[in-house]
Amino acid sequence: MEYLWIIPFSPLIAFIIIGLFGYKFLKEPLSGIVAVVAVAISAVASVIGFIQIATEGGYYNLKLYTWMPLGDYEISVSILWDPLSALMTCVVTVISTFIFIFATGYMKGEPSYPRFFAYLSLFVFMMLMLTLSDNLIQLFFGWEGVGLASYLLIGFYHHKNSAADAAFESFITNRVGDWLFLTGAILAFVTFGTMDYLDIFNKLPEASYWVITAIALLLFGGAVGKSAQIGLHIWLPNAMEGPTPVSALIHAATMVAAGVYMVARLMPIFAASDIALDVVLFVGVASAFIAATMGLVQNDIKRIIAYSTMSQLGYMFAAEGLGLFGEGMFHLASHAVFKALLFLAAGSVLIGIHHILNVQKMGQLRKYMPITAATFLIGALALAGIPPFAGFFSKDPIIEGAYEISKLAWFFLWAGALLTAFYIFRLYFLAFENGDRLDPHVKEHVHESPPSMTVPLVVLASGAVVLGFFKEFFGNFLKPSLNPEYMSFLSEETKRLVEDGLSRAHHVHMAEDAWHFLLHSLTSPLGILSLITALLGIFVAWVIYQLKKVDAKEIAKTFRPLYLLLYNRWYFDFVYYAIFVYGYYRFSKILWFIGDKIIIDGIVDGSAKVSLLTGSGLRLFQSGRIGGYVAQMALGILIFLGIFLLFM
Amino acid sequence: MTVEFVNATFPVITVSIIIPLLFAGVLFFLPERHAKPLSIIASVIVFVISTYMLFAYDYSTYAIQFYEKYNWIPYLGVSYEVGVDALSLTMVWLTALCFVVAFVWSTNIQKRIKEYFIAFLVLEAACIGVFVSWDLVWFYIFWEAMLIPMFLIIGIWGYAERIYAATKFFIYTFFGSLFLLIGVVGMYIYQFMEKGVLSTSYFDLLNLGLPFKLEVIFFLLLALGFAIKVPMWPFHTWLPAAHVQAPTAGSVILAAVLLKMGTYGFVRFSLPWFPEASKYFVPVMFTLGVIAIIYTAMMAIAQTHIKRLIAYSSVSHMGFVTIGTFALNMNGMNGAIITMISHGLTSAALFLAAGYIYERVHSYEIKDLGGLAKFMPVFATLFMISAMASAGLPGLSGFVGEFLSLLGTFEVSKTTAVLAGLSLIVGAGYTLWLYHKAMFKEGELPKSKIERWEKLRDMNTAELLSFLPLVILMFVIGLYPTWWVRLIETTSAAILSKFIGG
Repeated sequence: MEYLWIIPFSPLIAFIIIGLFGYKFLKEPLSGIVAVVAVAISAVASVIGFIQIATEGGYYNLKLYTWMPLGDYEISVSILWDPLSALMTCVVTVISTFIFIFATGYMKGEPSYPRFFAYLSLFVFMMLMLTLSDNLIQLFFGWEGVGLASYLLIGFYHHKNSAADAAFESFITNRVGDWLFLTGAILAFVTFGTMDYLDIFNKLPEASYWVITAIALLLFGGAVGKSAQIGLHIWLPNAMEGPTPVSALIHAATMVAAGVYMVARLMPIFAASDIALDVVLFVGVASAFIAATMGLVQNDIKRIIAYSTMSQLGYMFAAEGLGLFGEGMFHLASHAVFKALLFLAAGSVLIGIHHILNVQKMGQLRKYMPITAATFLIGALALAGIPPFAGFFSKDPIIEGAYEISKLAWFFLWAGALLTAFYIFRLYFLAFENGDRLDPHVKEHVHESPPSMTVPLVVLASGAVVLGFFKEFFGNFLKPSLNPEYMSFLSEETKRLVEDGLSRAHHVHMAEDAWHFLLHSLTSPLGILSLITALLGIFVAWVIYQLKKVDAKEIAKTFRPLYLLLYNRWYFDFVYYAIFVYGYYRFSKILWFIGDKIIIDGIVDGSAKVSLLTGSGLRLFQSGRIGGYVAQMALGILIFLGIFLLFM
Repeated sequence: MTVEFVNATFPVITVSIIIPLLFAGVLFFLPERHAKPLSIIASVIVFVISTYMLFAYDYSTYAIQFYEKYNWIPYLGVSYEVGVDALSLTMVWLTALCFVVAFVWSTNIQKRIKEYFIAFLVLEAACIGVFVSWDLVWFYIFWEAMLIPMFLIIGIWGYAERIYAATKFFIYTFFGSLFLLIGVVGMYIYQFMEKGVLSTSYFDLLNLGLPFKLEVIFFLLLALGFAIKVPMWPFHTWLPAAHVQAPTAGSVILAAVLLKMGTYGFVRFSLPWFPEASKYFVPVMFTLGVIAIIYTAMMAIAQTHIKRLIAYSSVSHMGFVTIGTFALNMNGMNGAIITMISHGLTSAALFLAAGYIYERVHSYEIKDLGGLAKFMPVFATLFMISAMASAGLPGLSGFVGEFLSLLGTFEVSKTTAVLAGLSLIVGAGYTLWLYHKAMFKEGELPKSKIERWEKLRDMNTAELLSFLPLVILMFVIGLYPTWWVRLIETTSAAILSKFIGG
């Protein structure tokens, strides 16, 4: 398994090559090709590794080098290859490959073409350092590294004020999470004397419940930031300022899912504290529901999908909080495919209609862009949870599982699913179907995108169709990483601790096999209910936006306060900006003026003036008379001795 | 604590102090055109020597290496005594590096060229002297000697309000040094009265066995001198003033080298000499450190002048050194020393960046800037890396020191560490805010202005040569801190021997 080091370092090499020679020698299209080849190499290597671990079992831990010693413990740069990291790595590299190919078409003619691919490669490298890590610090390195790449890519059109602001906002918001995460990592080190996951897991029984809870919650704070969960979510919609392939790759499929991955990766820590699991569940459910409500009324095509991402990530966290880690990870993988698909289709639309983002100004695009429309529809169906698309097999188990464990969580997840089906089909009908709202000038130029863009769409769409049927395979594949019974690297004691923690999910019995699950859903009341819910959402969207039986504006007028609440995103942005941006800035200004200028400098410069005055007074002592000097000297010596004797 | 000495086979340290002085003396008699090349040659020689020492230094056990001692005034116990341990050595090396950088950058200086370079060469000798002297008289001579060239550099080659700033700098730090002097003289007298020995050697003053009360008094006297130099809150206001007025190379040296003397003083003198008092003052130092980190981060973001912003950021970073030092454990100490090195690199780079911007746009006001990244991609990249290193991005030098300092502090006081960790947010806040405003966002700038910038040139060779080494070293430390930790850990252990045993 030595070859695994290729996986992260191939994109790194591409980053360095493009960074150094991109503008001078490679230019367009060669920079793009270098990046695509590099990430494809990673993808191939990780698929090989995936197959190997799927057939042979076990796990591999490669230590590449010692980054820094901390007393007896050494933080190393390393690769942990087990089913969980293998799955995540494959998701990252394979999706990246398609998005990179798509981007070679999408970014055509862009003056900063090499810079774009350099950043993308950097992102993939950082993301892989994160997924492959075997310790908290390397994870943090990747964690902050993807934050940097995301910052650079959101601000890719950095001369644009909105893009620069969004990039800044995203970095700082993420830093809030990172602060909590780093504190958690340090607390873990102080508690366990190690940062390696596997050692931490096996030392869990030694630590007190409250310390474990604190560690888990602090680390989860990082996940809230990175995965844009409620509280630290405001950056994600604004992150859509980045080029669309970036939104697809970073702000939908991979980076934002890092938080979900991290919680799964550290599952034993979370499982050892039911408070931590409850918090994860609460945050997940709240995000899933609230984000879905925010998505209802937006008009920016990318922002609608962004809220949907936040909401779906909420489902994944909810699954983890319920103890259904395998289901959470499966939803991560399937979401990565269909959300990347949705974003890329949106990108294809934007290329076709020259970057008009407002869905109210689109319409009937299906006529002009049939492939894009069809693939988008598949993505939308998957997101809405209609069988046999991937989203159905990955999302419905979470909702059904919630019913068995917490009725309240179930209700909000179920309501969220209704809203999801509605908002995504609202988008679909507005953009691709009824209504001839396109600007006539734009209409003349609307065209289907080139093959470099449509081929990835078709491939991802096929993925969204078939992936769900691998439900059982993924479930079994992940067991050695997420099911304590099969986790060979855990000690017996830890196993017991983790099993206790996950006991909340023990009475959840769902068909693991996709066919049986489908059959079960079509026959059990709960399954039929969720299916009807999804269809109802689509139906309402159809009535309002396709048939126009009901005027959307009328509804907005009737429920105006509610509409305003949703339209203003529950006033999160407003309050945060008032307190943490303008408030902090103004307070700093005032503090500077009062603290530094008036008080401190007042004293400093004031004492300078005092000494000037005393100086002119003391001049009198410099009389030039020897006797006077001798007297002063004697006095000085006396004072000095006096001080000394006082303390002897 | 007994200290081992390894005598120098060749007086490398003395040579590296004398070379800048020698070149300065020679320069005095030569025409102006020789000033630049000769100064660069001198600084490169010193840098090569210090790099040699860095690799020749044996870090497996603690010993003062390249040690030289000659009697000077025997009846007062004063001798010339120099040598390095890993702390001194890294500081000397950092000094040598920053002077090379400063000289290469200074090739575009126009006014009174000869005097400028002579002042810098004298400054270099004094700075190195401070870090290598083990005799307190020599230490104090170098400590004070360094003020004069710096005073001249700010006062002659500075900007509009240079006289005010230079005077403030001089009087403020001189004021602090006086307390330092009183403290050291007091210890000298105590030594004579208690032991009947007259010696100004660091090692003799190391084991005085002071009563607690006196320890506290001497600690406070020395601490005042050091705290002003660091500078620690609330003694920091001279620094922004000095930085704003100082020429670029002056700012580089001021931030990268001169500030380190304060923290060097705490680590070198306060801890080993006054262990009980140090322990006693831990809560105070932690508080001051946290205030420095948070309060000055807020000061930084309130600024409109690039250099004043970076100056405040320096105070904020030195807060990490303070808390790391007074965590009084290995991780904290390693963190403090690595933060000192890293801050030397990042602050030098950021001040250079400010200088580059000024060279092109002729303004330090943030509101006059915007969207520069588009026109200077190479500079934008290097500036970004420096800003990220300063903001503590893992993989670059800043993170290593901050992480270790936080870890060390956390073991002692969780609250302090958590509060200091806020720097992750507020630190990134002001650093990226600066970058954001100057390099990215065009903001409300008039179009005509931005069009004029299209003719701006990217970095030239001299600029690249002065910037690139700093950036490379940020990566070297950030990606392979093992080497640095191994280098300094025996020294950290020796400094902390009175706290952690051994």
